[in-house]
Amino acid sequence: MKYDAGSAERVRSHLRIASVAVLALVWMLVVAGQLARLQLFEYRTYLERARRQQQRIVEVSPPRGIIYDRNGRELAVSIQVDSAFAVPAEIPNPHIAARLLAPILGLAPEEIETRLSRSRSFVWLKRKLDAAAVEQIKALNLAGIYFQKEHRRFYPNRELAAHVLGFVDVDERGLAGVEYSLDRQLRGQPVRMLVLADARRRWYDRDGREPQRGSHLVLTLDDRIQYIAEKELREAIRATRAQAGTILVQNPVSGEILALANWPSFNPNTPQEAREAARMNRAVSAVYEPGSIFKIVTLAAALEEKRTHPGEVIDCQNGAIYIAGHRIRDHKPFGLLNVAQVLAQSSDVGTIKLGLRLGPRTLYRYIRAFGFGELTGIELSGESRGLLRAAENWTPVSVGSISMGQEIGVTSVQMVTAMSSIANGGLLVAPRLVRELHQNGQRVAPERPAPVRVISATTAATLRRLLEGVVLEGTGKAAQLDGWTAAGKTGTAQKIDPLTGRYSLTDHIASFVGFAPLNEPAITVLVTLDSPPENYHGGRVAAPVFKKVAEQVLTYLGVPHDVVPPAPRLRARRSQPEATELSDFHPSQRISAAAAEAAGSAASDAGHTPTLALASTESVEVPALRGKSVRAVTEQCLQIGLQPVLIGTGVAWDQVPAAGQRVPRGSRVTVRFLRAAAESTPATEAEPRGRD
Amino acid sequence: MPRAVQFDRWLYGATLALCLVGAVMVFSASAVTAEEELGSPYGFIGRQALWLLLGLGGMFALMQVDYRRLRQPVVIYTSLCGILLLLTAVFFFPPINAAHRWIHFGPLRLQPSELAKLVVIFYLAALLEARLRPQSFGVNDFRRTLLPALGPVLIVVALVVLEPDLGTAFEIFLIALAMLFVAGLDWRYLVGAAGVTVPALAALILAEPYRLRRVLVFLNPEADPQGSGFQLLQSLIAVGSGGLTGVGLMESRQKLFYLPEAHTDFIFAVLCEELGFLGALAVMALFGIYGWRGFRAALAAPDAFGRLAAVGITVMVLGQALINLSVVLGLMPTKGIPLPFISYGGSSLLVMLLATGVLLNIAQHAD
Repeated sequence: MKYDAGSAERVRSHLRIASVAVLALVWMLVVAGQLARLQLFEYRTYLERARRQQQRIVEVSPPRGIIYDRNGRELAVSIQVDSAFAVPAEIPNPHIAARLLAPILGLAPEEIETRLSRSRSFVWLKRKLDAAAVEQIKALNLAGIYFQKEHRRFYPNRELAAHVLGFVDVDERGLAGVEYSLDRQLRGQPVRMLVLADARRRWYDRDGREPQRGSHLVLTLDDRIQYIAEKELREAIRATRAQAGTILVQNPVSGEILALANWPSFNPNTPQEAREAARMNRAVSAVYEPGSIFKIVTLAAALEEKRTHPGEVIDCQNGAIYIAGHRIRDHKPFGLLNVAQVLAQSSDVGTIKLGLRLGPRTLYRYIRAFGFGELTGIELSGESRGLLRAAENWTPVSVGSISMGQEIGVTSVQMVTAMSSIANGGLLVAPRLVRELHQNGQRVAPERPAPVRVISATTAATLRRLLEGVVLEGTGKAAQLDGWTAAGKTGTAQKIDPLTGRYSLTDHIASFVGFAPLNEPAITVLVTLDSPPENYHGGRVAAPVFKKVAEQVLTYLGVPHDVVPPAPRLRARRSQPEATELSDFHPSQRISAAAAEAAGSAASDAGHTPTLALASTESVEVPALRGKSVRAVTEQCLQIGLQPVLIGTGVAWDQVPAAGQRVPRGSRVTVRFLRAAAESTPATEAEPRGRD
Repeated sequence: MPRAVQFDRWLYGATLALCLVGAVMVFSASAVTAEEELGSPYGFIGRQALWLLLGLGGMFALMQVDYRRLRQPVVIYTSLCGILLLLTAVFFFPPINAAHRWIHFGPLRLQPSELAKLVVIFYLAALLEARLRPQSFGVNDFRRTLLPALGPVLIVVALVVLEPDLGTAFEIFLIALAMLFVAGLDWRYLVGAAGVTVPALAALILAEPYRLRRVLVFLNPEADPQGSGFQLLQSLIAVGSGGLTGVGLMESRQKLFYLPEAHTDFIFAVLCEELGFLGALAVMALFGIYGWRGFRAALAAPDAFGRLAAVGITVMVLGQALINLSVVLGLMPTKGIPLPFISYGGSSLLVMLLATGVLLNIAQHAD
């Protein structure tokens, strides 16, 4: 009985132990099931959630490549700035936060609140803030607001070369200019960088490569030539009240563009504030009827095809010619002119007669050979190929019209390139803006198509002489340079009125394209002025601009004079005020003995010993230049009429003559520059400035 | 007469394996926090290793002691009085995290509530064995059995609740209930106990805002992911992102300040993240082995004391493990309960190893 009771108790006890064990087993299975659910079936969901909170994908754009001019001066740089972002989940009161941030960010509080509600983990507040705003935001000491270092494009020279450089958007993507066309190279390899963050938002790990910095870009532009071109264009626009304009300076041998200036212009630091028209790069995008400057092509073709020679006398029929029943009138009633005079006087009838001799097919072939009707391949987007109908589609009148630059649309860069091919002896060289790219210390020069011969060297030489005649005694007299030979062609084209489709009676494009010096041309310069209201003749308004630009650029480049500069007395008689002003940049004949001594050897390198010292010469005080940038020195010297001779790069260190001395206007001031960072060892850092 | 058999290799092996996993996981989960708070990544694991050595020593010692010597009244009543004293003493020590749970002996911190579990087990086993003797009153005599059995237990539970440590109190109550059940408690009492427990728990939960919050958050963790639901949600993210094979040992990202209590109550979440489903399942299997051998020892125990003590110990370890896992996996509201053998915490580890020592001894005496 005792035993049985104990036994029964034991059996019951064992059953109960078993049931506890089963209960535990069931519980364990439930736990295992939940484990499987979380880790196997909902793995992706949780992995995603984990990533979202642990990782932040940060688009790390490497600093964009620097854009230099040909002498290594910075035209576009990228600087580090702060961008503010929020982690909305950490902001206790978005309403208040939005109201505190609104005035600093310049945004509406509602806008900020909307943004904060967009994501829980990350939202940009404002990109690329200035330092003051960053300080203000930091001072608010708000939870959940953080800063991320980013790069911002900065154009230290503001408008200078704006159309060549272009601009970028907030993500540093190029939108115009070389910033756009060479965006891939400049940008480098942006990296979506995986940054892991712990709950206290400290980044503890970085997955992924370091971003590869973009290539540096060296342009063919020379910032000082660019400056001269822009200054003179601005001045010309002011004087002529033209609506727009372009100046191009090209090295005719290499095809390198030394300056590309357009008006209106814009500040690439704030492109959104500029009008569309101001951002347009007219030099490559604007298509216009060239008018008389296009006669160089007709002449070149006629000479090359031996259909004429410079001495041939052509009857210009007193200013009228009939082609296919249409009467075309010359701008002046000329009688008998030789071919040289046809070009010099820009006779339409004479040129048309030469064009008729060539016939449509031959003329078309030459037009194409000179690069019209196709892209020049300049490293800019938005280039136009111009308007040129195939010879089959020409009307009977076309050959006459096209001979004198009508019924055809060209761009300024095509025009300057065509003129350069005459200047360099007959080779068409593609215009170029990019000298080289620097990637990881390696210099890469872009490949160029080989120059193509358009006309023989003999024809080119003949044509150059004819074009000199334009400047010496023809329509382009205002383009005569003091101290150098020059050649060129004027153009005055009627604009086509977009409303009527006919030639406008009031709007003209005045242009001049030329080169200097005659025998070894260093530069080709094109000037177009769009719709100057009163004085619209290319010879009157564009040629003087050519003169100003060419004289300054040739001086800057140190091109030796090839003619004896006219005596000051001769120039004194001239009435044009700009002529006197120009001479100010022309030191050789005015430099005084004292100034020459002060300037030391610098004055003698041009090969012109000062011959005259005029008692009446206006004298100016040499400014203190120490500590100024190359640009500032150039600008200041040119403004007061001194000719800067710059040695080295960096910051002005010393100068001859010394500040405060009075020297005649036009004297040279030699300024030595040192790199600011290396003031302790200036001798090794100062390098002579390359001139080419 | 029961004969001594070979000691239980399965139980022994599972225990050592769990301790090993624990040591590794505590290091992995605490290294960064230790570096932050103590200046060395070995700050926490060093202390834990000391407790582990102490606990293993105690386990080996108790393995050699015949468990029946523990039912002597002098042992039972001394330890019961001692634990009541200690549980009272905690209130005179400065609180940590607003809770009086620890007694400080110089650098050592002892949690009497952990020890209380062991004391309750032996007290109940001894008392119930006496009542189960053929001439005795049986289990279901309210005045002579249940009152003396539950009286001291409820006093202990009450003291632990006051600390406050609701999780441990609940666990002690659960152990007591399981032992009474195995001893043959009538169903009526079980129903009655449930009828008393549920409202009592509800009252305790409603009385403390943080407990209520935990329950509400448990029901809907997404409602407040940055606030109260943070811990649970972070735990689920850790577990879920581990996947089948885990992110690799030491590689947990969630332990880096996302997961509060990563090396203590939520160490299993780190384990799941680093070792994945397979690793977590292996750890559960170890607990399964522990449970299997524990219940087996109870079934084979030569006497009621051994049987009930084995049940108590097994329920303590297994129950605590299951509660902890359920909390980590979002099956139960958050409670401050460590995972046996694995979580950081000296008192818990020591008590678990001592209890296992006794269990191993009981297993040796199977008939």
